[in-house]
Amino acid sequence: MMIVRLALQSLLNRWVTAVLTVLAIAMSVMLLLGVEKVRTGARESFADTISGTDLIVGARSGSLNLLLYSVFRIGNATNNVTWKSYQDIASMPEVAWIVPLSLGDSHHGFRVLGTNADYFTHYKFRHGQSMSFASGGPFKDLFDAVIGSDVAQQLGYKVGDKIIVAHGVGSISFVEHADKPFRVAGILAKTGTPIDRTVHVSLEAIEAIHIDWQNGAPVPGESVSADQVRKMDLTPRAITAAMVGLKSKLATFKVQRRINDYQEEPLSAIMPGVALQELWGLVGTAETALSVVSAMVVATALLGMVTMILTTLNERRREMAILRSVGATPATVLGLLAAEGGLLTLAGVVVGTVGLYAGLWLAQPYIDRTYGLSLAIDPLRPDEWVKLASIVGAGFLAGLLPALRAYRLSLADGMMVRI
Amino acid sequence: MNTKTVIASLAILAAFPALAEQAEHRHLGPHVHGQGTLDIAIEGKKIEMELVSPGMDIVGFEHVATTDDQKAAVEKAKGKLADVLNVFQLPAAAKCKTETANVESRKETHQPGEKDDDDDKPGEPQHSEFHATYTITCEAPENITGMKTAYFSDFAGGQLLNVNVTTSKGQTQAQMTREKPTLDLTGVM
Repeated sequence: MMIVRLALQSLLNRWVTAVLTVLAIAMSVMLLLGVEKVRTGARESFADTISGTDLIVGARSGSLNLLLYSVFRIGNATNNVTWKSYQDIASMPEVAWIVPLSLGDSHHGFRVLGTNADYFTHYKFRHGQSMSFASGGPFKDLFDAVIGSDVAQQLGYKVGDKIIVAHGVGSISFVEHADKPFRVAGILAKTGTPIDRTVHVSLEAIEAIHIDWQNGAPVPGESVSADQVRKMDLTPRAITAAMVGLKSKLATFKVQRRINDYQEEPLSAIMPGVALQELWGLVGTAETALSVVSAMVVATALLGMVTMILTTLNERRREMAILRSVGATPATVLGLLAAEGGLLTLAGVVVGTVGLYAGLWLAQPYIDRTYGLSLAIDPLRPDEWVKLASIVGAGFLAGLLPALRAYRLSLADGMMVRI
Repeated sequence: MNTKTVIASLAILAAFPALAEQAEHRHLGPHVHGQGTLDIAIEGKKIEMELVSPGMDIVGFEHVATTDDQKAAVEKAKGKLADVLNVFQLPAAAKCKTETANVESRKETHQPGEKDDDDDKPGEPQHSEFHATYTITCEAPENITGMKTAYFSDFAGGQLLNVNVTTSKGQTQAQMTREKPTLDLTGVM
């Protein structure tokens, strides 16, 4: 097409400004698509963290709070669940399995989770995938620990190493359970979930390391050695939360209601999938704000392009005049400038999209490793194609603005050379 | 501290466990006019649903029905709610049929399964709820892609239904509203 070729040639003549404009549009397109990718990636990472668990039981609190501290290790429990209540729930006829979770201690900033060996078989992530051991196996001895892959990597642990658990959850702790060190019994394979950042020990071990403690500190002169503690009754008094699997999904709501109405202790039973949806409802507003901001950036880039074309218009009066002299109608001039806007935007969109995928491809392993966020490199979705097409359309329309001005100018001062 | 005070405080302390034993268990669920809850559990060919809606949404009042008109309104509403596949329409291709449908209207303070006593004073203001449980079987459950509801056209007071879903594929939560009386189940089926 004649007009497109002319527009291209004219742009080549001003390639520095043209390239900058294309880059500005490309960046804005990358941002627009990138925000969407991160949003869906974050959602999937969260949703992939827990699967196959029907209910999570904890002390009475909001469902989000319970979900966040029990599964994502974010925040803290409002209260504990007594061992008696745990056993009551475990003995309900509908319950197929129940896994206790006990939080509160840490190791170099990584959370220590007290649980039992069932945890490794029943906890599922990413559409029902089970955990697997990169080396070693589940705990056999009282003072055995199983660590997530990030813990092993960042602290350089291997099976057989001795570790000391600190009291509390700060990354620097002043009170340590130094008298009862743990042995690394197993290292879990990478899961991309908070498990990677967790040190797992048995519930009994949690009880054992606190047995000679009172009011959150060791009692002087009353220490119980690691060997003595093995002979003591280590039945836990309380746990933080429990994951429950049911024999039939049909019983979910019934069991949930029964736990919520449990008379002896105020408990909350939540459905993890439902609580996650609630979370999306909350963060949805922030996500919308992000999309709006990225759309504004696109608008700004287009505005920059219009400014660029408009400012060069004056210098290009000669160009227009020559075009008119060789028989171009004012309509051709109009088409030429509109095509210029469209072309610049199209180039920006293409460069931006290619740039985004190249960036994703390069940064994906790093993002997965550092943030546990697996960003999918999917082809563009239909709604993204629509977005991109409408940006090109908007660019073409924005090009009409200087085009109309040029159209009017070319009618007015056509061949006339002002002195 | 003299002996008298010690004895007095001991007496008070001793009295506390007794008080605790006598204390009734107080517990009340949320009750928001305009909002009902629909729980759906699907496994294999079986679907179990439970609907809890404030009386305000269904019949426009929450006291015990006294006039003939009010009694008729409650009965009519119960009849409509019992026809579950009309209130909550599943795709025809799923070939579903109702096994059981149980609708009751009860005072909110009642525990599930507790028998409704009829000694409520007529006309006394209180919160009451409609409670419906359904069992449905579907020959082709794989065709259940979603649900359409006539709940909002049937009951003028209903504004929102919070829907909780659990299936063997996963769990989700969604809202059905007067403006959007549909539910998408493709993600969990």
